[in-house]
Amino acid sequence: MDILALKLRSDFSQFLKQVKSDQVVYWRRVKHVLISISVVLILFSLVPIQKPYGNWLGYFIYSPLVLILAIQPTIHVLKRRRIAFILLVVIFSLLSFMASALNPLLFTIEKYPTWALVAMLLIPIIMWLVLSYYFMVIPSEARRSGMGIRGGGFNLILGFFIGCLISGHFLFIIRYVPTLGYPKIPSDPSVLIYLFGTALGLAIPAQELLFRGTGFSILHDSEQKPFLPVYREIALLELLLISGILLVAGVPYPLLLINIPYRLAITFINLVFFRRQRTLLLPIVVNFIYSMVFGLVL
Amino acid sequence: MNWPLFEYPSLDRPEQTQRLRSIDTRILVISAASSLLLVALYISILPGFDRFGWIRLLGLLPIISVSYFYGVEGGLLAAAFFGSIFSIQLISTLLQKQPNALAFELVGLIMLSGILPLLIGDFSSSIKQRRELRSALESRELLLSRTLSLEDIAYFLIEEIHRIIGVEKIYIFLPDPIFSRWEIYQKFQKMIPNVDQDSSTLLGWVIGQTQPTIINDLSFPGLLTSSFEDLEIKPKSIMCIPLRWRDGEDLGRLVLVNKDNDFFTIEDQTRVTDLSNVAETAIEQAINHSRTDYNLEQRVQQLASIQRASRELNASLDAGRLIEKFLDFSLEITHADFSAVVIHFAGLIKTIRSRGPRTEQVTDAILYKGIEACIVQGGVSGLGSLPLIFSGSQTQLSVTIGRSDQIFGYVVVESESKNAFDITTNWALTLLTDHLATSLENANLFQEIAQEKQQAATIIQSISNALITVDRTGIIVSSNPAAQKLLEGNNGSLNGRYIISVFGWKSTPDDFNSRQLIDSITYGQSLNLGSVKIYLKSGSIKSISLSAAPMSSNFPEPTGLVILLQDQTEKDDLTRLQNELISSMSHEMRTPLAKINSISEMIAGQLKGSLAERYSSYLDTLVSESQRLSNFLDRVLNIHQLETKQFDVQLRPIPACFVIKNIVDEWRLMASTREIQLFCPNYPLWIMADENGLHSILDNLIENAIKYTPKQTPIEVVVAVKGREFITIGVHDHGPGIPQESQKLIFERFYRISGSDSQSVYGHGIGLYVARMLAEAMGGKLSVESEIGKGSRFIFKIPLLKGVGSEPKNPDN
Repeated sequence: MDILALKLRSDFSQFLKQVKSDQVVYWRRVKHVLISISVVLILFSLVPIQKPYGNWLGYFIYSPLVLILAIQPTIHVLKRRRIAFILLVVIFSLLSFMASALNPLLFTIEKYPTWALVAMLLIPIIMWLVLSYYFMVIPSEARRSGMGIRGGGFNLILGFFIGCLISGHFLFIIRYVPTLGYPKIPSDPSVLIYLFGTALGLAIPAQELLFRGTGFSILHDSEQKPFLPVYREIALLELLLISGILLVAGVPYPLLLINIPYRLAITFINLVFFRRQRTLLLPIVVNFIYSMVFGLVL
Repeated sequence: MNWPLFEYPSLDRPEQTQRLRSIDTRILVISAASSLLLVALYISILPGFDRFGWIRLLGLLPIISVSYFYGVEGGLLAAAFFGSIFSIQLISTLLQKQPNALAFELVGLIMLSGILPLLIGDFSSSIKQRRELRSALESRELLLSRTLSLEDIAYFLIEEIHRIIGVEKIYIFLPDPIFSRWEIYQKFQKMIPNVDQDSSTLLGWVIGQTQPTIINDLSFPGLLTSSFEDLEIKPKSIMCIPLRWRDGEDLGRLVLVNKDNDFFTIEDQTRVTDLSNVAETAIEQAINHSRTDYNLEQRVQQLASIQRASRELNASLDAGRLIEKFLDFSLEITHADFSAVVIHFAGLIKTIRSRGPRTEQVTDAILYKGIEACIVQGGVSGLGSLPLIFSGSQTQLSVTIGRSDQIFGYVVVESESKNAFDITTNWALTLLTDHLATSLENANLFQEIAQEKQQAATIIQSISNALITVDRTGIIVSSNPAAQKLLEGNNGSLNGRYIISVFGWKSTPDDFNSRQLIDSITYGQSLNLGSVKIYLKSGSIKSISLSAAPMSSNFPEPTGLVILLQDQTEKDDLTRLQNELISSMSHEMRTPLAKINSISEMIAGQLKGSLAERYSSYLDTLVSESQRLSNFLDRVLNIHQLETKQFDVQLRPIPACFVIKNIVDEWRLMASTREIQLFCPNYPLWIMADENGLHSILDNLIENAIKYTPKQTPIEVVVAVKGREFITIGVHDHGPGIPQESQKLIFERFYRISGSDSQSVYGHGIGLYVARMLAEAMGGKLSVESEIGKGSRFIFKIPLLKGVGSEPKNPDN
C-alpha cells in the first residue's frame, strides 16, 4: 500500500483546522498563565517577608504546573485522559514535594543522609521514566515534542560543549562582579546531587517540554510563524518565568541581570538546534549544565 | 494497482560543480594565513609578537571559513581545536592569578568560537540551499529546451527538490494531457490513481488542496483511519504545493512526504514554490505539446473514419442499414458510450446503440422530445442541447441531421466521462451527419427513381407502339413487346443487334433512310421519317413511321436514341385504296357528267324561246347543277392529285400584276354587283408560279370573299412587295371575320366554320384546302389575318423572281 492510499478520517481538514485552532488558543492561555504566574512571583518577591518555601514554590511551578501545561494538549488523545491527568499531577506533585523536602539546607544534621541522596537521584529517574512511558504511548506527540533520540551521541557532545562554554563564560564573568566576588563552588556532593536531581528531574524537563516541545511546535509549526518572532516570544516568556522563580528563591539582582543574556543565548541556541534537529537532547544538556553551574553559584 | 516501471531518458545535464567564488578564495587564503600566524604566535617563532593581542582574533577566521564551507558540525570541530588553544592559555593565565584583560579576551574568543560555527554554519547552509535553488532555477532554460516529456520534467523536478530539501518521498500530480485524469509521477514510477474511489484518502485530500498546505501532524492519533504499520515509510509530515497554469487554473500538485527532521516549515514551502513556479511553465508546455500531438492524431483518425464512413454510407441506398452504420461510426468517431438516432424518414425511425454490452432502455417520450425541439428550434446542435437521455451519462452532444431546408431528425451521443466532447468532436459528428443526410437523400431519390422506372417499364411494355432504344453505335439496347412483334423478334432477341440491319437497310450513303438514321444516332439528333419501308428477315416488307429522339440532350456527347415505330402498312394500303376509288369515281363520273352538261346546254340553246318559261328554268337548273357537280369533281380530283403528288405544278415566270388583273377583271364581270378593287404596283413583278394554280388560288379567295361578305362592302385585292424576296397577294374583305380558334383550321380539308351565316352559304370546305395545297406546291404560303366584325385578309406569299423585270427602288413602298 502506498502512503497516498491511506484512509483519512471523514472530517480530516476540519479536524486539522480544529487542532490548530485549539493549539493556538491553548498557547494563548499558557501565555496568560505564565505571565500571570511570573507577575505574581515578582510581586511576591517584593513583599518583605521571610520566604522559607521559596524553593518549594519554584519546584511546584515547574512540577506539576509547567509540566502539565507542556503535556496538556497531548493528554486528550489518551483514552483514559482523566485518570492519566490525575496520575501525572499526583506524581509530578510528589516529586516536587520530594525535592523540596530533601533540600540539604533544611537538614540540620552534619551529613546529608544517604537515603536522601538516593531519593534525589530517584527524582530524575522517576520523572524521565514517567515521561518516557507517556510519550511512548503517544509517539506522535513524542515526535512533536522532540522526545525522540535523534543523533544522540553527537547532540550530547555538542550540548555538553556548548553548555560548558556558556557556563564557563558565566563563571568567569561573575568573578568580576564586585558584589558577588569569586563564587564559592560548594564541594559537598550532596548539594551537587540535589542540584542534579532538581534540575534534571524538575526544572529542565518542564522548561524544555513547554518552551521547545510545545511552545515552539505550536508557534512555528502550527501557526507557521518565522523563527525570530517565535524566539522573541518564547525567550521573553521563559525569561519572565525563570526570573520570577529566581526572585522568589532570593537570587541576588546582579546575578539575575547577568543571567538574562545567558538565558537568552541558551534559549536561542536551544531553539536553533531544536528547529534543526527536532530533538530536546541538546537543549536539555545545554540547559542542564548551565542550570547546574548557576545553582552551584547560588 | 500495477505500477509500471520504465526507463527515464537521461537529461544529460552538465555537472553542477561547486565553484569557488573569489570571495570564497579570499576567505580561504585569509584563514590559512591567520592560522599560520596563530601557530607562529603560540610556538613563539616571532618574539614579542604576542603584544598584539588582537592577533588572536585571527584564530576565529579558520573557524568562520570551516563553518562556511562545512556547516555547523565542521565549524564546531574547528572551534573545539582553536577554542582548546585559547582555553589552555586562559587556564595558564588564571593559574598565574593574572585576571587581566587577556583573560577577558580569551573568554570572549572561546565564546565566539562556540557561537560562530552555529551562526556561520547555519548561514552557510542557508546560502547553500539558496544557491542550490538558484542553480535549479537557472536550469530552467535547460529544462525548457531539452525536453517536452512530462516524465523527464517530473524526474528533473524531483531531483532538484531533493537537492534543496531533504524529504523521503516526492509525488508530482499532473493531469494526463489526453484524458485529463490525474497521473502521479515519482522518481522512476508513474501511476494512475482512481480518484473517485480514493476521495476519502490522502490522495483525495491532496487533490482537493488549492493552496500550499503543510501538515506536520500526520501521525496524530485518529487522523488516519487505516493502519500504516506495513508501510515502508510511515507518514509523519506532508507538504502540498498546488501547481498552476499561467492563467491561474489548476495544473497539478507537488507533494513532499516526511522531511528529514519530520517538520516542514514555511521556508521550505517558499523554496519549493519558487522551484515549482519555474517547472510550471515547462509542464504546461509539455502538456500542450502532448495535447496538440494527440489532437492532430485524433483529427487524422477522425478524418480517416469519416472517409471510411462516407465510403460505406455512399455504398448503401437502404435507409435502415445507413442508420445502423451511422450509429456504429458515431460511436467510433466521438468515442461516446451511447448513441441514438431519431429520424423522420419513411416513417419515424428510432435507433439506439451503446458501446459494449450495455443496453439502455430509453423511453420514446424522451427521444421524441428531441424531435419536437428540432421542429420548434429548427435544430438541436451543440453540447447539452437536450436533457441527458441515458442513465449514467455525464456529457451529451447532439447534432441535427438534414439540410437547412429539410430536417430529417437528430443524433445524440452521450458519454459517461466528463468533458468527453469538444469542438472537434462536434465538427466530426456534424460532418458525419452531413454524409448521412446526403446518403438518405440519395436513398430517397433512388426509391423515387426505382418507382418511376417501374412505371415507365410498365408503360413501355403495355403501349401498342413499338419502342426501341439504341446506343450511340446503333445497337439495340431494349425493345418492348410491340417492337418485337413489329420487327419479328422474340423475347429480347432484338437486343444487341444493329438497327440498320434489323430494318433491312444498307449502310451505304445512297440509302437515304439509312443515312438519316445513322446521322441521327451518331450526332444525337431527333429524326422523323413519315413512311418508310423496312425489309424483315422473313422477307415481308412493312411500311413504318419512325420518330427518334436522343435519350439525353444534356450530355455533351450523344448517349443513344429512343425510337418510336408505327406500323403504317395497313394505313398506306387503305389510303391507296381510297385514292384509287376517288380517282376511279371521279374519272368515271366526269365523262357522263360532261355529256349531261353539254347535252343540257345544247337542248337549252336549241329550244330557247320555244319552251315554256317553267321548262326553260328546269333546263337552266340542270345545266348549272351539272356544272357545279363537275366543278366539285374537279376539285376532288385536284385534291387527290395534290395529295398523291400527281398534280403537275408547272412553275414558270409570270408577270404577277398582269395575271392578277386579268383574274380580278374576270370576277368583276362574274360578280358585277360587287365592287372589287385592285391595288397593284405600277411596275412589273415577276414570280415563279403555275398560272393555273395561281388562278385557282385567287378564284377560291375572291369567291369566298364574295360569298361570305355583305353585298355593299368592297373587296380589295392588294399586291405588295415584302423586302426583296417575296410578294404578297392579299384578298381583303369586310365580312363578319373568322374566329381566332378557326383561323388555323379553315385550311384543313372539309372544315367549315360553324354558325348560321357560314352554314347558310353553299360549300364543301375544300376550297381553302386546295388553295393551301397549291400555294405550298408553288413554294409559297397561304395565311389569314382576321378580326371578328371587321373582316378578313387572306395573304398568299410567294417568292419574287430575281433578275427579271425592273425592281422598285424602295420595294416596301
